[in-house]
Amino acid sequence: MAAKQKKLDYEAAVKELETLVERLEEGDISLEESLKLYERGVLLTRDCQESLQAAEQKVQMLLQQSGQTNMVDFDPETGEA
Amino acid sequence: MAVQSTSNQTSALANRAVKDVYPVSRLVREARVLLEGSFPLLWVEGEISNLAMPASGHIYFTLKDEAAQVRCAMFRNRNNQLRFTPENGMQVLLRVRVSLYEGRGEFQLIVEHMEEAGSGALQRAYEALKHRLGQEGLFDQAHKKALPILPKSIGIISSPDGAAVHDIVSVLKRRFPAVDVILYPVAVQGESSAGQLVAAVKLADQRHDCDVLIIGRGGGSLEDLWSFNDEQLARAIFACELPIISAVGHEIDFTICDFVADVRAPTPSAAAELAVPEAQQYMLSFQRYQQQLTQIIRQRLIFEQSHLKHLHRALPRPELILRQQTQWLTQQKRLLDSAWHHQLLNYQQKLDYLSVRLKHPKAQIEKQQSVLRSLSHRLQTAYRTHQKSINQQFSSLQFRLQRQVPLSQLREQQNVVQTLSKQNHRLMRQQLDKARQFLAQRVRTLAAVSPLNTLDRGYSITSKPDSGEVITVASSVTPGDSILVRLYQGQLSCEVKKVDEK
Repeated sequence: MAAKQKKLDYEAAVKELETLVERLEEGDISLEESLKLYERGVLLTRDCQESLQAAEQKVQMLLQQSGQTNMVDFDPETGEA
Repeated sequence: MAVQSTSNQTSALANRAVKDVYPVSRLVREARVLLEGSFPLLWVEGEISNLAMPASGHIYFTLKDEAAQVRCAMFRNRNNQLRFTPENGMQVLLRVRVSLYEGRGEFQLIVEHMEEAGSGALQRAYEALKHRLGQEGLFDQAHKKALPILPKSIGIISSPDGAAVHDIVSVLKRRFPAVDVILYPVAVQGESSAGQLVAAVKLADQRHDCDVLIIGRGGGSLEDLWSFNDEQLARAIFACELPIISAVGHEIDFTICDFVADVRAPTPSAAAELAVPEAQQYMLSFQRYQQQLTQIIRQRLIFEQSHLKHLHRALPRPELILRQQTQWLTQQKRLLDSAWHHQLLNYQQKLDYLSVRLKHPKAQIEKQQSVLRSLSHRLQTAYRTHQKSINQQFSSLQFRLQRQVPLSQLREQQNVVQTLSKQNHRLMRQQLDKARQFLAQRVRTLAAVSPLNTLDRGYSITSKPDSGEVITVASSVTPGDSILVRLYQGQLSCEVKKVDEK
């Protein structure tokens, strides 16, 4: 779940919300569609808020050993992988 | 006198209680704190004078230019890295902290680093490279790439155990923990540093697993930062497709790397701040959007509701229509009644008027009648008068006529006529009787000779039926002829059988 939430594209979400609100504000859409947009918007904001609150920083270090590269978790406090 | 002195002391105490009176030490200390807090670490250039190098190892001198001068102190732990011996009159470039020497209340600069101004070999090399690359256009604003508003992943090219990485990661964590960090570990000083930096930039560009790169290290001497002035690094950064933030040393330190990077940050922490927005801002914007959405939909619903209400109200209701129709009909009836009534009155008035006018012809008739009556009366009177006169005339004429006609003569003549008429009648009757007697005689004679009497005695008359010719000779017929036989009474239709001419 946390990993899935991390993939959330906040910028895209904000853009979508912006468009959504604009469309709703225009008011020339059907009530049904506006309710759909509203639902989508509320879901989106909630997901984003939740994932932002739950977000944990993931720090990794790229190591190169004998031509091989691999990611290892990195602790910036100790400066050790 | 003693009283006055006491009172002076009291007022001084009172003054002290009201005004905050500074001891000198406090004033000077606060001035120092103020000064140190107001100025960052900075570079300053000037000429050395009043140089003193006591046995303590510290160096004291005055730095001056044409217009001003300032006291400087370079402590032993710093000046042992000096590559030259400072002399009076020497033009130097210093990296200093601004401070105040509390013991003397003297404004002074604490020197961290000293080099010969404009004459250092590194400095010359740096200037030359900067000029060349600048000419090549590597620093042109046109080549600068824009940073993503919110990267999903940030690459850091720095030393894994340096303060820079620590600073960057903690700022990122504070501002936007949802952003991943990938560290490309390199040595940030020393002989292999530049090569490692170049390789890391190329690797990060090739892997493309982050949206923005931060390249940097913490503060240090010009020598420490030297690998960031590498030409190959500059070209690698220029060629890199990822946007790069350069954060080398402190705010006052400038490297080639800083110039060629897309964005230059004064410190590694500042680079992290440039790289990501505040998550809180996003949080707020999501909250705002949610509120906005709810408000819009609520307004929409209220609108729809009122619209519905309006429509419902506008819906035609049968009982209302019926009532309206009834009202209309009632009104129409009332109008009709009133119109009818009005018309009636109108007619009545007309009638009244006409009847008033009608009396006139009656009177006229009566008048005519009376005229007629009078005329008739006059006529009768006239007629009577006229008749009377005619009668009178007639009487007189009759009288005159009677006198003229001989009545006795007339009577005589009448008698003659009567006598003659009687005679005539008698003669006529005699003649008639004579004729009647003659006729009777003749009839008797006729009866004696009539064939009819012969037939009575048994004779018959034979005739041809078609011509009625009486057959007196037998030869006038042939056998087979039809004949008619007349008897006294009736007749017979016969056929001739044989003819005997004898």
